[in-house]
Formats: sequence, structure tokens, C-alpha cells
Amino acid sequence: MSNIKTSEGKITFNKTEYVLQNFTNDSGESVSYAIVSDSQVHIGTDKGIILFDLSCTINKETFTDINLFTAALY
Amino acid sequence: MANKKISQLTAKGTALAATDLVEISESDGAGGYVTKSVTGANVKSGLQATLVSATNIKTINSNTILGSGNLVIAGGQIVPAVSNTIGTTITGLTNAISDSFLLPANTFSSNCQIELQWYPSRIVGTSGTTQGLVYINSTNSLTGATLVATGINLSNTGVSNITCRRTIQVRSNVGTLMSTTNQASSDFSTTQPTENLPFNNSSDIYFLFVMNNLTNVLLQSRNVGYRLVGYNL
Repeated sequence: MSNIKTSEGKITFNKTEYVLQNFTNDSGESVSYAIVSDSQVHIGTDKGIILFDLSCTINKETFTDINLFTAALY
Repeated sequence: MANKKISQLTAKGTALAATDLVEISESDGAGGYVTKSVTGANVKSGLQATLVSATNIKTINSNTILGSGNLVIAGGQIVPAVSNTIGTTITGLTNAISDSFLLPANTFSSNCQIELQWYPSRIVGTSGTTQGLVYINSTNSLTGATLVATGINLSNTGVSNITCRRTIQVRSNVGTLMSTTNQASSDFSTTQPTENLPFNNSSDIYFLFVMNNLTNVLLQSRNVGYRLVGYNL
């Protein structure tokens, strides 16, 4: 199980640091994330849009709800 | 020459001339030999002439290919991946890998242009939509994967296919392409760009073809093919 470590406006995953930032979704809106499915979310970063899912922990904490999972990233 | 060793003969000191004579022992086919002579022209007959660039060996784009070492052909097309199977069928409301391939490390340089085509297919379903998405990752897994492209919605009832295409300009291991979230079959129309896509082929890169089924639990879809071509710059 891979862990995501959060810090001020940043996350670290697989030894790579990502700066969280908005992206433009297909409706033309500037968003910071987009829920893809019940277990997956697209997160906007300085290295593109990254897919995370509930198989990841956040700061070693496990989640079963994608909305709570996403909230814990910010 | 009688009673003299070859090493005792006067050295000619120059290349064999066409009119020179060389002594040979010709097989008689029965285990014996007959002493004869052949000319220098006889000896050289049938041998490859000395290679002279652009005279008896062609050039490549006016560059000689004579000499030792490797000749790197810049700008040549590379075709590292063409599918030869049909992807796994993805059923229900999910976003899952239908097909993938590995782009081995160092197939492309830090500056390159690549063109990707993929062929999403909706195969069952009377309502709802599906999309063929493409991600890249260092492993054959969606977790932590980077979105590369979002194909156009397939919403026709029953079977429908679409050819999707993207061009990625890679400079110093960073790709520029059309917006990765823009639902589109191709990048021939004007769209916002994505200019921060990491594309560092000094390591393996997996291309993941994902079907994203929406709003109908009975939807079935799959990626039926892909092709990647590119050029090192």
C-alpha cells in the first residue's frame, strides 16, 4: 500500500514531490480535483493531473470514502 | 630460384601488378598438384574494389558511411508500439485499464516528438457514455498515474468506435500537448495546452489505456488498439 505524505500545498508520493495546483476541467472550470469514480480522484499538480485511489493511504491513514480521501489531501 | 627459400628472394616492395606472375600449385583433383602461374590480374579478379564514398558505395544524405564506429541517424521514425491484441473488456461504472504497453527506457531522447493513436470502443449498453483515457506511469498501475489524454465521449447505443490521436512535443523531458482533460478525439482543433507533462524516458514508461464507463452499470467497453510513433530530435 503506497502512502501519500502531505505538507503545505504539496504532496509526496513514491519519492516524488507534487505541488498542488488547479487545472481546467472539460467544462472550462478551474478546479483543484475531479472525482473520477467511487474510489478514484484526479488531483491537479505541477507535474500534470495525477490519479490517486483508495488503495493509497494519506499520512498512513486508510480511507474508504473518496470524498474524505480527497479532503485529506488539502 | 632453385634451392632458395622464399624468405631469401628479393622483395618486390610494391603492390601486385596485373601483369605480375605468382606461382601456384593447382589441385589435379586426384590428390596431386600441378605447378602453374597466375597473373596479378587473376588474383585480384572477383575481389571487392577499394570502397570510395559516392563512387562504388552510396552516401546517406550526402554523408559518407565509410569508417569505423556507429552512425546515428537523427530524425528517423521510431515505432516502439503497435497493438496486436484487443484490450480487456471493462464492465460497469468504473475507470479501469483495458490495455497497456511498456515503452522501454531510452527509446526516446529528452527532446522528441511522439504521436499516439488509440482506439476506444463501446461494445454494449443502451444508455450512458464511455471514454478512452490514456495515462502514463512508471508501473503498470493506475495508482499515481499521470493523465495524458481524455478521449471523446462514446454515447451511441450499442457498438461504436473512435480513433483518438495526440501529438506530444517533448523538450528537456517535459511534454506539451493539448489539454489532458479536454474530451476530444484528436488535437487538430484549437484547445488549451498542457505544458507540464513529465515525460522522462531515461526510465521505463507504461502507457495505460483506460476505459471510463459513466452512468450505466451495464456498459461494456474496451480499447481495441494503439500505435505509438515518434522522432528523436
